Amino acid sequence: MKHLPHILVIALALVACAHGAERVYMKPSDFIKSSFGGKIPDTSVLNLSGSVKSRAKKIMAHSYGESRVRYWKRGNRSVWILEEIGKTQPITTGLLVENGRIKSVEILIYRESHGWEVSKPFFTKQFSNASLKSGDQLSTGISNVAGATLSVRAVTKLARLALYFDSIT
Amino acid sequence: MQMKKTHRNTTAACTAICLAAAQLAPAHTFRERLAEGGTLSADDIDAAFSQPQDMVWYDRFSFGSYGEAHFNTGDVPDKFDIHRLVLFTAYEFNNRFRFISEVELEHLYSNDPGTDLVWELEQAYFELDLGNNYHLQTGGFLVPVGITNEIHEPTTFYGVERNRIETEIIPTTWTEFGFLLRKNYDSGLQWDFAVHRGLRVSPADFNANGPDIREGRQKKNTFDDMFSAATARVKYTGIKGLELAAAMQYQHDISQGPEDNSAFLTTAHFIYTNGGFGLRGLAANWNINGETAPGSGIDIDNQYGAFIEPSYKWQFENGMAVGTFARLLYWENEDAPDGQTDYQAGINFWPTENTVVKADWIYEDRTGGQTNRNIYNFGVGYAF
Repeated sequence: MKHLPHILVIALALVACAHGAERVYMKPSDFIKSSFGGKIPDTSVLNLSGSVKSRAKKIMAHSYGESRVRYWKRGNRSVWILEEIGKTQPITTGLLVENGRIKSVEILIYRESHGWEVSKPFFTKQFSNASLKSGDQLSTGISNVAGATLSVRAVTKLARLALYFDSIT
Repeated sequence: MQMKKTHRNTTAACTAICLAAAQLAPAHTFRERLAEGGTLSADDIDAAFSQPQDMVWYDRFSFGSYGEAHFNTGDVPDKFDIHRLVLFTAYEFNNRFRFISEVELEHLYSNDPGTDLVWELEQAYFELDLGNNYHLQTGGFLVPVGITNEIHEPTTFYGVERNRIETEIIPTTWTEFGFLLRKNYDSGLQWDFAVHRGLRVSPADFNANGPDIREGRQKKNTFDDMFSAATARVKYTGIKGLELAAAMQYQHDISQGPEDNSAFLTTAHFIYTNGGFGLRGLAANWNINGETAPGSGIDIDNQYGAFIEPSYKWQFENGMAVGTFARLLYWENEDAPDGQTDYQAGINFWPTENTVVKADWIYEDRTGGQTNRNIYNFGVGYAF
């Protein structure tokens, strides 16, 4: 018990000096720029209603949180910045789709305490060239990361959703 | 006059409420603006996804829960137990600083009169991001050892009960108070270093063969014996489907009494998955110094154990999944000084990704004059 005051003081000091870097691995705008040769195209909007909404719900296994989803498109390339909760926090994910296949996946902002492995290239590169097959499943199997099951699940759903959204725009 | 005053007060109150509401309202302004489409600046786009600064207070909270109920039968007394219900709560102060807690209610109902209802604080810590991949935790956290101690939602493992190595040798669920530093790298490497409260095994929990390590966990959340232990772990997940980890822990004195019982825990594990196939294994060893009691003249032996577990999981397109596993375990501790071998096999069925139904069989090959046993376990669990 004699150490409790020390712990409280240190905890308060942590509160006071909470000025470290954000867990922003890549700015969303930088992901869009890098996907389109340095320039951000106009933002387009996909309205989620009727059958689109219900199919998105089936992919996510719950209602998608927004009724309008923004995306950026030029030619046969589209960029989607989507979010899904892993355990408790949304994982902000950038997805580049080209000709109906995933070109790249980047974890832009990661907020969970565990499961950070999904932000690393050894995980995200598994999605390269994946397309949508029957049942809105990915054509490529995604290996789980022990201890990051919920985050793996969340990012995999977002890849399926981006491919579906791309197919209807 | 009185009416006018009342009216003025009401107006003032309404104005205050409206102003307060206005403070809360602009939480999603950037999102709404972004959803309009058209030409948007890079700053607008980045602001739309940078959440906590403009989040309303209730969006900073997040909640989760998991729980499991078990039924054990066979060569043991029939026992039904709502084993645990856990409520997870987190609060995000800002992008870099958060509070995380888990409160656990164990044995909410059991037909075993010797099983008491228990409230426990499983975790309660502050976490500060010192950088993108660099985190500091302080408070009560789960000790970074083994497979199950940190990740133990019932949907994440095979078998109704947690594996015996991570109950008999590594005393899962194991919470300690102190400080933990964690760093991870793009290569998939992670290290953890923690200084924390130590174990305290009372003399009553020693027998002629040594201490009952599990009873050394200080459940009363006292701050005695702070910083009398340290744990270091290295984990590597840089190869697709593979996790490798090793941890060491030093305990200054697990009995915290007149006899010097310093102790080292070393443990290592691997997890490999490829499609539906899975293979995991773990080994753990306690090297405990000193005697079973001051002047007893009986040195304490090592306590150790290991298991290996192959499995296969079939995932269906409708979200359901079925998996089957086998597990071989061996350990030696104060209750099994000549060793115990368990053979286990079972099945998990996941009706949804967040729920599981389990059944398994265990054959206990026991020594020291104890009768071998067959045990059948059934369970349900959830996590969200």
